[in-house]
Amino acid sequence: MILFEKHILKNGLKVVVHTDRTTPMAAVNVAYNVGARNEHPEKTGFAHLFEHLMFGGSVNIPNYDMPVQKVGGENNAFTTNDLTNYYITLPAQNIETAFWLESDRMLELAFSERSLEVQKNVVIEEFKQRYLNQPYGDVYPLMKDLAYKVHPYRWPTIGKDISHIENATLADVKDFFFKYYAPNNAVLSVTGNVDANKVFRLAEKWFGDIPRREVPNNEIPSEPKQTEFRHKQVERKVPYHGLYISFHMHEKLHPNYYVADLISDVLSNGQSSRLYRNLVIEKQLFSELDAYISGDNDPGLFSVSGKLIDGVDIETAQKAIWHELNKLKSEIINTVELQKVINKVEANLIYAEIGYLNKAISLAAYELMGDAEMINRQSDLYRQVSSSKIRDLAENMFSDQNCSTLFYLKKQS
Amino acid sequence: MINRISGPEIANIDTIEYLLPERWKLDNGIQVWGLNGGSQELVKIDFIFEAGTWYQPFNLVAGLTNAFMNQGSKSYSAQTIAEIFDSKGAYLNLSADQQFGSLTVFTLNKYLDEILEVAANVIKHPVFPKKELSAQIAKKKQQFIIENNKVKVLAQKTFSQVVFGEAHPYANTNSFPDYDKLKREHFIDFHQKYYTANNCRIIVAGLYTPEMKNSLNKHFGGTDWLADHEIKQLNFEFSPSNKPVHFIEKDDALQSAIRIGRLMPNRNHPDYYGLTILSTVLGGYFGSRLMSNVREDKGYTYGIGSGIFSLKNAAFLSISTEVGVAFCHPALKEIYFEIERLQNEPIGDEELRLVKNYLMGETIRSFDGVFASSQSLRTLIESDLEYSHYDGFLEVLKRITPNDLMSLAQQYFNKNDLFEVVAGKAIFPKESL
Repeated sequence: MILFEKHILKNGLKVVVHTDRTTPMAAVNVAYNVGARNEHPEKTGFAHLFEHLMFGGSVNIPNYDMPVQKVGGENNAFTTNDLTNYYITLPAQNIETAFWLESDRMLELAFSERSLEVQKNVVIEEFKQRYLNQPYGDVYPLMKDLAYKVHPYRWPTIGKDISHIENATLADVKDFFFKYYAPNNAVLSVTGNVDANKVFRLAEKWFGDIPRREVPNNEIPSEPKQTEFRHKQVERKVPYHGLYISFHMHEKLHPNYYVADLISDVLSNGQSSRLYRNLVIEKQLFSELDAYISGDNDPGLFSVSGKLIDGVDIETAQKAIWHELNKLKSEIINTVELQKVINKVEANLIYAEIGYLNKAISLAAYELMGDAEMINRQSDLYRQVSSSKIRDLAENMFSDQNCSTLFYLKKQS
Repeated sequence: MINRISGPEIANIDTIEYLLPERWKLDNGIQVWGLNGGSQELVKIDFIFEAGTWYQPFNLVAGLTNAFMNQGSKSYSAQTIAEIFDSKGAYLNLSADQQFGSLTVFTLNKYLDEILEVAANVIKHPVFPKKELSAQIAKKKQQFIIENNKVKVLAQKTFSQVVFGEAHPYANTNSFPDYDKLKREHFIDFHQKYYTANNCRIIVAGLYTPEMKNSLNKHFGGTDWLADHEIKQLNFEFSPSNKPVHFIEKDDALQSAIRIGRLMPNRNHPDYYGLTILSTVLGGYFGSRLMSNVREDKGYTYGIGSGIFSLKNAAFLSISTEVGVAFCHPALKEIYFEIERLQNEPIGDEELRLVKNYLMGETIRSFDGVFASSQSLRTLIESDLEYSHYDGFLEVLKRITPNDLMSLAQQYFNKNDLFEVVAGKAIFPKESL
């Protein structure tokens, strides 16, 4: 159970505080309700590029990082499909420094041409480092492009193409800032060795006078129901064939989201899981094989991905995976196996209560989705999953018409 | 009006409260360190053995003996071991490095006794069954090939060979054919020699109770796994390469990986503290000189860093980055420029104060809670040091001056003593400018 207090400032900024006296530190976290799904199809990668620019100085503070380090703090940020999240962890005595820094960059950025040019280069190198210069690095963008036709989840957070990043202008940057970086489009969460009332006072002092902004209520196009099997085959200079199979699944606020998550655990969480035991160890078809959900707010993907043992035929491997998926449709999973995956999720939720930073990030994300209290309902939602719900969802989800399959073949040299 | 220009006042933090361990021995003499604390009913237990690559008869044996210990034991099959851990939401993490092989158990308190029962069987009596071995080795072989397609892995391997000498056990010389030489007997033999009670140390961290201590003694305190042999102490000489610059070609690379560094004194040497501070100034944090110059000013890379990495018998400096292939030469130039600047100009007071505060914050983090504290304790145990080691660091952090750091740079950061390793695509310097 994670206890917290909540307060909303006049400008619409939501503030959530959780006190954890077991640490001398504090985390100050700001999540903005904007991610890759808010991007224009011709200007992809922008939310993430913008995240980089948030470190280029703000209207009153030329250098963001220096004051953080001066108080013994650390900071970083990440961008997902759904949100952009910034955090500072620092000794709790110096927490006010974090309020000063975060409020100033919510007030207004420095907007410099030079910072934009440099960060474009940095992001292009990140693009290469993560996606282009790694074996199998482009699997994720290929699969998104295959599985989605309309919804902005069809491009990766880093962007669809390097040219989109290269073409970004300072006018785009300003426009994006004033559209989305508003107090009424953000959640401030503070955790650690802090007093809730003091946090609310500091929030009022530093964030209270930032004007509310007009945030566009742009509808995100929803993905039409897939009606036919999709298949793509590519050849790359990699040592082994890769096989990737994805299915559309429910959005995060749907009860079936939790059912899908547990199905992925039955298939591949730990060395006792089905795919590992049957296809990696027994049949020795794969050297690596995983099942997982994408974790998106809007309807996301349930994926199975594997690398084949040298010499194994990719269609044999594909059949073997389908055999496991079909078993979930035809045979009801026994209670011991179900209880095992539920226990594991519950233990992991307890482990997650140790880290004050994780708690800050989760509280903000749930508050953005509608209610921070959801953090305390997770355990129940998993416990409500039954064997028959697993079978019903498997029946529904694991069909050809809902499936995108990528054969990622090694180039014969 | 609030002052948004200069910001709030800063509280200076100059003391750190360590959670100190209690120490006891199991009935068979195994030394245990315990850190009692936390907010949740769970516990983490490290079983640490001197069983790293230092001791292996040939490549891969130390790492794979450790990795395969959970693949079946006298009383439990691999599947049963996995079932039991998974069904309790517990974890058994295996890891081996140059000096140590270890197993770490992480579990809710209520399952500790059952989990230790299994863990004890795994640690004392692994059987390395043929079928599991063949599947696991096939897996590892493929992972090896995939990893060796990455420029950073190629650079890292060559760097370790160049700095320590190819024949030294700290060097990574693993090759694909090594996997075919492995036999089941090698694992059995290595386990029998090194995974013994005499060679084991234990760290317990979390909210543990006297009953849990008894349970630990019940499963691990017996004489049944005391060795009847002495472990032979081995010595190896470092023989760094006599060639300063190394290049590994990967012609389809979009980025080149750079490693620059050399052997350094380790934690047991008085200069270690100052060198740590110096390498932090250079590339140890986001605002460091290398990050500010090579990333934030030039945009050559997504990230660049430097650090002193201390092992039991030596430490090494490593400056590492991945840069667009066209930026490789300009990036190298900037790295050497920053190194030479440390040798020729004293660090400004403002910058040094910032680095000191930053490192103070990092030190607080490394003792934040029982689990971080147990990691810091493990560092001490593995180097045969006491908590005075951390006090010593805080002392030096307080009093070290720009001139002290400049003389350390002059002594240890000479370009002529540094090795340079690049893995990637060769581009002539003039093309890239």
